[in-house]
This record gives sequence, structure tokens and C-alpha cells, in this order.
Amino acid sequence: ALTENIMDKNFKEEKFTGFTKFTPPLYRQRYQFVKDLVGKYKPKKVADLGCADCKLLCMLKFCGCIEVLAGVDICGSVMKEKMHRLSPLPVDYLQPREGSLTVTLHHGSVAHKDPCMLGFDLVTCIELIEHLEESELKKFPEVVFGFMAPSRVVISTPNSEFNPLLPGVKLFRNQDHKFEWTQLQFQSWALETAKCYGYSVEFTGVGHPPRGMENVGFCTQIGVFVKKYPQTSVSTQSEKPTEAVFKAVYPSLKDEKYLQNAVVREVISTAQIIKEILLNRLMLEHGEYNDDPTERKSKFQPSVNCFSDIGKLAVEKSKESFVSGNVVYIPLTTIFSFPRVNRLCGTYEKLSKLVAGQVTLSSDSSAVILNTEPEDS
Amino acid sequence: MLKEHQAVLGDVMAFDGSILFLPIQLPQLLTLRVQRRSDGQDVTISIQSTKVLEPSSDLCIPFYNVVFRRVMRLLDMQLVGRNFFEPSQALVLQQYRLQVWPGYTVSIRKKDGGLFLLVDAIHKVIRSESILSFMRSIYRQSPGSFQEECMKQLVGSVVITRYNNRTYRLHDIDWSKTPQDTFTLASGEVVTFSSYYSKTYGITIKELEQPLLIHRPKEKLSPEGKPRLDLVLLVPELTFMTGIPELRKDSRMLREVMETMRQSPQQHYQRLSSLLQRIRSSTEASRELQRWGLLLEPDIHRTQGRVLPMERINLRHGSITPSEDLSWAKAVVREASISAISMNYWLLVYPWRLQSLAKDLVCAMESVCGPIGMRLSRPVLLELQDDRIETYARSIRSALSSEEKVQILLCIISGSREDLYAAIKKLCCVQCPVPSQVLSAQTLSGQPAKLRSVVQKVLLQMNCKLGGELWGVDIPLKQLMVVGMDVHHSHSRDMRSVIGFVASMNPILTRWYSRVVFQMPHQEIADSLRLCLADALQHFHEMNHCLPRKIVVFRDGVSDSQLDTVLRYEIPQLQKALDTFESYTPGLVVLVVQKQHSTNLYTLATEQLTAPPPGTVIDHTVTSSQGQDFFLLAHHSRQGCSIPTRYICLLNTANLSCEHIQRLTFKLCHLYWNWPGTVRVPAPCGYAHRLAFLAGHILHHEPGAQLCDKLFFL
Repeated sequence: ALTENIMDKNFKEEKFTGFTKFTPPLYRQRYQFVKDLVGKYKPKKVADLGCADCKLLCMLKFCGCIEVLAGVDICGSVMKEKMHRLSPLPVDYLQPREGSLTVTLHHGSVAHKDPCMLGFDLVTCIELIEHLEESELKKFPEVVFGFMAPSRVVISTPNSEFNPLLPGVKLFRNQDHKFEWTQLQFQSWALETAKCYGYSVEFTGVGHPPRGMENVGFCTQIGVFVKKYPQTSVSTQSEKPTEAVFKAVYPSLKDEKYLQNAVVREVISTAQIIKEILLNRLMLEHGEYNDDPTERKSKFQPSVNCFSDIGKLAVEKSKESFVSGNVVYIPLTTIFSFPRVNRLCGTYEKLSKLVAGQVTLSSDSSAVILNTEPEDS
Repeated sequence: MLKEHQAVLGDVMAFDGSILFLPIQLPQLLTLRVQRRSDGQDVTISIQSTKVLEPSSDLCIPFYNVVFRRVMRLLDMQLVGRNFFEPSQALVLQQYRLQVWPGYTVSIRKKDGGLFLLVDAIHKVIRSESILSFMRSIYRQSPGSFQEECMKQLVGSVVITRYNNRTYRLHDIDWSKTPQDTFTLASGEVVTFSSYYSKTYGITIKELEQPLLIHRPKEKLSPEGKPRLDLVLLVPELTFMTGIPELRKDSRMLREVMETMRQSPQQHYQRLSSLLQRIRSSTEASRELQRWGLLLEPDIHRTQGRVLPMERINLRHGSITPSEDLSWAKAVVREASISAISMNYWLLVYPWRLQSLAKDLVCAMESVCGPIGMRLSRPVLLELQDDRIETYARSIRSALSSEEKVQILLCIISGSREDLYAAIKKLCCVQCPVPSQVLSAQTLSGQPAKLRSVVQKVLLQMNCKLGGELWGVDIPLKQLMVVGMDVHHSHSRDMRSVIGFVASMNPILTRWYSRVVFQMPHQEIADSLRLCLADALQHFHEMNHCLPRKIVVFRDGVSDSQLDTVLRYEIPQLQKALDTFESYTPGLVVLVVQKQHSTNLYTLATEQLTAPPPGTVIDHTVTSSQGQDFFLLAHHSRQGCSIPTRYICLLNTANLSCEHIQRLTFKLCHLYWNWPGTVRVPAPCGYAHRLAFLAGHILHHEPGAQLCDKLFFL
């Protein structure tokens, strides 16, 4: 219902051609449909069959739930040209994701029982089947539903009933299409396939027809298949595995090295905040007012709440820390009680282990030590 | 459609819409038939062979570079800006929240010795926290002046974003906007920033109240020829800062970071050879190169350079031979400078708290001034009640206005306070022009021996500022004027650039005339250069009663792509200046000085690769054929690699041979009085740089004309 509202607003109707284009573009709507599905069911392993220029994969790599992302395409050159968009970005190393992520690309046919394609939770076939030769299409259900047997499959394909509304489309929307199906043709194929492999299927689509022509159906028809029973036995034998043409392992907090980096960073910054608060309070208590008076007097600025993020907690927690000589002691337990540190480490033992040797600790390793002198000068 | 004829054309091609580049030779005329996909129409393609390009043809170089970038990506390198980095090999400096990424700059260029792959092993410093966290820590440290402090620390820095591979320079902060504000997509859709990032990248912005960062792209013309004045707004939470913050460029932090990035020539070489090795051992990468018939030599290029003869350093009573590393630090404090100005009437300004330090300072000055040939009278003491800026300004102004004869002002300030320093400099350079020296109390405290050497340096510097001359070298060329020019680009909001212009005024090149010119961004250098040179010549005439027969201009701060601007705008300006004088046609030489060009020199004198000796010149093989250029390594680098300076001769009507130009350049590298040794660039460039920095970064104004014949900017 939500999409319908948006569509009504964005749908552009012209008198003569009947129809021009969708906003956002139809391909984006198809990808968004998949992304919404991923957001809803949180699959860990997702494969995109017929991944072409890897655009959908590229959108999916931002989904935190996905741990394995794979793409398959018969055309190696397009895939190779665009595959680098799937590489980790520089910032992925600064702020590694929480869960692991491995992206692989395989050059091969979707009618091939590749053992690399086993164990997926979601398989997407966006605008794929209409490109398949008859022989491939015949083998396709057996490979996807019988062999790969994921819990969910999404298949999208053009709805030929919509074609008369598209300007310039003669027979098929694309020269490489081997067929384009009516709603009935697609649905009967899908129902037959679902029945055969123990799936249920629901039909939907993207690209609404103009008002008054609702019987034409969506411009792109989509079938969402859900496996009825969890798989019990390994089905058919697999064929020769294809070689991955691309593989990227993303840095993540599952990797000890990046987890340690993140934890140490959080510990040091938390400790520094506590130190600042503690020293400020001591200075006030002793009536020392060493601060530059010009700074204090400077004009009042509207309070910027978003910049004092963990202030309150830190003020409260700073009472557990103390100053001795020119050294500030901040107990590790205090630091551990900060939500961000806590979430990263899980246990106190893990925290102790990760900061050992990375942060200056007291002799009994129970507190972080910071010098009261400013860090850099 | 061409791709469908791989059987005929091969799978390696580059097509720019009209010209097809292939690594194979086709028959003279080739006709292919193909069906157009969009409408099924039959199309005939005729390919006419027009030219066989030499492998090193200029038309091929861009392809080679595209190919090589692909090779770097195949090696899992990350492109940031124009260079490649390996964040997985990052060095993490936790206490500073910084990471140092190793990387490479790579390009394929045509040089006199053939096609070269230019590689430099570089690093990128990057903050490991988002700009939002960085702003939070600024807020904690200075809640009172939060916004100003953010502007100071962020504007001008280069950032990268969470979701794509682009870098942006920050120009401003929009405090009135938040991620909840909207913008218009190319499709006309209006979305909020937060929903855009969530929809497009699946990124949820956590802090909805943060301000937005502004990047103003360089003015580009849209296809319709209208200027596009787009703003790019960035979300601090999704943005990361690269480089070391400008304001922190002091401190232990910088030293530690530099330490991690330092590489000896041997280490530098190892990184280059490991890159070559990685390319060789990756079949994919090698294949990518071979497709275009590119083959990398297994090792770096080796060639023969030479070392220029050593110069003698002339002082007042004789000359000395510098040590092997070309420094003469000891000699300059033991022997009298060429000329020294007596300090008969000078002011010493300090807050009363630093009373005893001031006393010690004067004592130390008196004890070290003798050997360097300076005479020093007791200063007029200006003791301040406190160290506020207003107190300094008020006292200095009243002292200067009541007494006209003040030669120089020495101010002691506590700590390194940039605002106070700037206030004093503005006062003494612009409002009441007088040479001035500002000293931080920190540099004076410590061991007496240390104080002594600090004071020696300060005295030498003050002598320069007063118009004295420290040392010289033999200059055989007669009736010569040497000019140095450099530009300071400000990243601040007014975005003006500043040109520093310095010209020599005497035969031994120890007296200098200086000018500063401000110009708006993208503005061609207007009449200013002509005026600068004409004024300098006028001054020269007043001092020497003749005009120079030869003028050699060193222009710093010009990249390869800007060479044309120098040729088309600056040289004509300089030539026009000569017309100011009747029937005056001196020889003019214009050299562009480049410090950044990713060419490193090592020497193979010993078993390990080491830094070549200062004075090493190479003027063949790795030079570019378009102009007369050479590399000169003038300085001794105690640590790290030796990066020579590249000089490109754009004009030479003075009949100076290459050898002469090289030797003159090297001689000038001995004359920068802030350093008792050879420096990377000729002294006039060093002076022009200091001057442009002072005017552009601190004064924001032209200095007073009374100071133009002194090195007041040192």
C-alpha cells in the first residue's frame, strides 16, 4: 500500500505515448524491493544470479546482516569491468563492519550445479530468466530450487502485457530477451516450479500500471518463493565448481585485529574523556582557574546537545577514577561499563585481554593510566 | 557494437567515440556489419587505418595509465584521491586516533630515456574517528569557542566519505542545516539527507542534529555553458579527515607520525621492488599489462649522475670549506658575518612573569654577539602587567609611536600562542612597520648551553631582519639579478592567494628586495608581476647605478599542468617590465622549481642504497624532452629519502649554458640564512615562500613598504 501511494504521485502519464518513465527508475525499484526483503528477513548468505554490472550486489554489501554475498553471470567482461565496486572502501578499514562479509563473483551459467552456490538463504534472479535459452530455462528450476535450495528465491521478469504502454517496444524490451511472459504464463510456471520443489510462491511486482488499466499488472512481475520445509537431505550431485573471478574479504570486528583496534580506540577515548572531567573538577575544587579567561568569556553559543555525547555517564563514572601525583587511574571496570566498550567486548575478560600491551595499565592491570600532562605539547 | 567483432578486432581495444586504438594492425580498410540492439537495425561499420602509433606516442600514455590503474586495483590497492593505498597494512597510532596507510603514487610517463613507470612509496595519514567524533572532542575541550574552533581545525582539510571512494576539501560548515534537511536529486526527487543515505547505501545516520560540512567544487561549466555553482553537503558522521590537522602541526604527535613515515633509501627501494615483485607474481596483473604490450623491467632504473663542485662559504674575514654534509653551523657562530648591524636602539617586550628569563636572555645575547661581529646596546625594556594580546598591542604601539628610532623589537611570549604571534606581527609588519622577532619562552628555558645556541640563532636571524648579511658564496656572473617567486594558497574563506616576490640587489646576492601581491582565486596574475619586477629593477638601479644584464627568475609552486600559464601569462609580464626602461634588453632566464614530482635518487656507492651526496645533478634519461630540465639534490637529508628538486628552464635569453644554470642554482641553495647549510630550493625561493606564508597566513595584508629591503619575514 505504501509503494502504491508513492507510485501514484510519481507516475507520469502522457497523453499520446500513454507512458514515459518511472521515478525512481524501474531497475532501482527492483533493487529496493530486494533490499527491503533482505531488511525484513535478514538472510546471512545471499546470491545474485545474473548479477551483470554488480549494482544490486553493491547495494546489498551495505546490509549488516549479510555475511556472504555471491554473484554469478555468464558474461565475464561486464562483471570484470565493474567488479571493483565490490571491493572494500578505504573507510571500511577505519570503521569495520560488525559482522564479517565475503563477496565472491563467479563466471558461469545459472544452469550449472556449482557447489560454491550451496547453503544460501536468499537467491535473487532479477530480470534473468528471460535471457535464458530454452535448454537453460528447463534446467534452471532444478539448479536453483532443487540443488541450491535456499529458503527464499526472488524471481523478476518483464510482464509482456505492459509492453504496449512502453514507447518503442516492438517485440521484446531487450534484444537479448528470449521470451517475455504474460502474468498468467509467469504465474503458472512459478506455481508449477514451486509445487515441484516444495516451495510456496507469492506474486507482486514493481512499476504500477496507469490508473484505469490495473488489469495490465506491474511492469516488472516478481515471484517470491519460500521453502515450505527445512531441507533434510542433500539432493542431487553437484558438478565441477567454478573458479571465483573476484573475491573480497571485508575487514570486520569478527577479525581479532580490527576488534582490538576498535576496542583500544574506544578505551583510550573513554579514558581521556574521564580524565578531562576529573581534572576539571579538581581544578574547580582547588579554586585554580588556569584557563584562558578570553576563552571563558567568549560569546554564548546555543547549546549543541549532539556534541556532548557520553558526557553525563562520564561525569558520573569519573568518580570511580582518581589522581595520584601526575597520573590518573581509571579502573578498567569503569571503562567496561560504558555501553560502547561493553558492546564491543562482551566480557570483562575479553576487554582485559584486548587492551593488554596496547594501553598503559596499572601494575595489577586493573586500571588505565594516563598522564595528567596534556597529550601533545 | 565493436565488441561483437572481437574475432576480427581482438578483445583489447580503446574507443573514444571516433578514434579506435588497437594493439594489432588491421587491413587498410575494414567493413563490418552488425545489428543495432536497440531497434534491430543493420549497421555498417567502416574502420580506416590512419596511423601506426609509436609505443611512446603521447596519445598512448593515457591508456597506459588507465591500464596501470587497473593493475593496481588487481593488487587490492585502494584508490584514495589519485593515489593507491593499502589500508589493511595500516599502522595504528591509537593515542592520536590516527592511522598511517602505506601507498604508492604511480604514473607512466615519457621521459628522455623512454617510457618510465614513476613510482613513489608514500603514506596517508587519516583520522580513525569520524568528523562527528572529532567535533565532539573539540566541544569537550573548548565549549565556549566551539564553532570557531571547528572552523579552524576542519576547514581546508581533505576528507573521505563512508560510502564512496571520493575525497573532498572542506570549505565551510553549515551550522543551520542537519541531516533532516532536504536536497533535490538529479531526478527531481526531494529527499532528506538521512533518508538518502539510508535508501542509497543502507546507512542509518544516528545523530540527526549534527551540522553539515560544505565542499564547493571548482567552478565547472555545465554542458549548456552556464557555470554550475553546486554545493556538496557532507554529513560529519559519515566523513573522515585525512592528513594532520593544520593546528596540530607542532608537538610530539607530528614527530611520532613523521617517524613512522620515514624511510631510508634502502627501505624506499624495498617498497618499490616489492611492488614490482607483486605485479610480476600476479598473473592477472601481468596479463593486464601484456594486453597492451607493456613489459616492466624487473628492477628500478639505474643511470649515471654527477656531483657539482663544492662551494666555499665566504664570511667577513675569509672563507671556509663546509663539512661533507654541506653545513657550516659552527662557523657562523664563531666567525663574523659579512656585515652586522649594531643594535643601538631596540625594544625588549615581555610580561613581568618572565622577568628573569628576559634578564637571562639579554645576558646571553651580550655574551654571544661578539664572535658573530654584532654590537649590542642595552635594550629598552617594556615590561607588561599580563600576557593578554591587548596589553602587548597597546604597549608596543605606544612605544613605537613615541620613539621613531627603534631598530627592532624582540618580544617574549609564553607558550606558542598563534593568535598573539599574529597580533604582534600584524602590528610590526603592517601598522607600524619595524623589524620584529617573537620568541616563545619555552624555546628559551632549559640548559644554559641550549639557551646559548638558541640565542646565537636568534641573533643571526635578527641581524638578517635588520639588513645585515650573514654569509655568501662566490658569484662569478656579473651584473646579475636573481628573483624568487612563490605562491601561498589560503584555504580560508576569502580564498585569496598570495605571491611572494624577492629579488637580489647586489653582486654577491646578499641583499634582497621583497614585495607581496594578493590575488583572487582563479585570477590570472594581472599587472602585479610586471610592477614587482619593474620596482625591483628601479631599486637595483638606485643601489648599483646600473641595471642588471642578466635576470634569473626561480618560480616555485608550479605543477606540470600549470607550466603553460607561466609561459603564456607570467613570462610576458616579466618581459613587459623590462620595457619600462629605455632600450633595456637584458638576458632573461625563467626556471620553474618543483619539489613534488615523485622522483627519488639513491646512490649505489656502497653495498646498500644510500642518499646521494648534496650537489648531485642528473640532467638526462629521467628528464622530460619537452623542456630543458634537470634534477638537483642540493641538501643533505639526515633522515629519510633524498628527493631532488626539479628545475625546468622555460626561457633562456641570457646565453647561460646548462652547466652555468645548474651551478648558479646550487650556489643559491647555499644562501638561505635561516639554515647554516644547503637547502632544497634556491634561497630566493625560500625567502619568497616565507614571505608569502607570513603575508597570506598571518598578516592577511601587504607588509609595510619600509620593510621591503630587509629580510623581516624570516
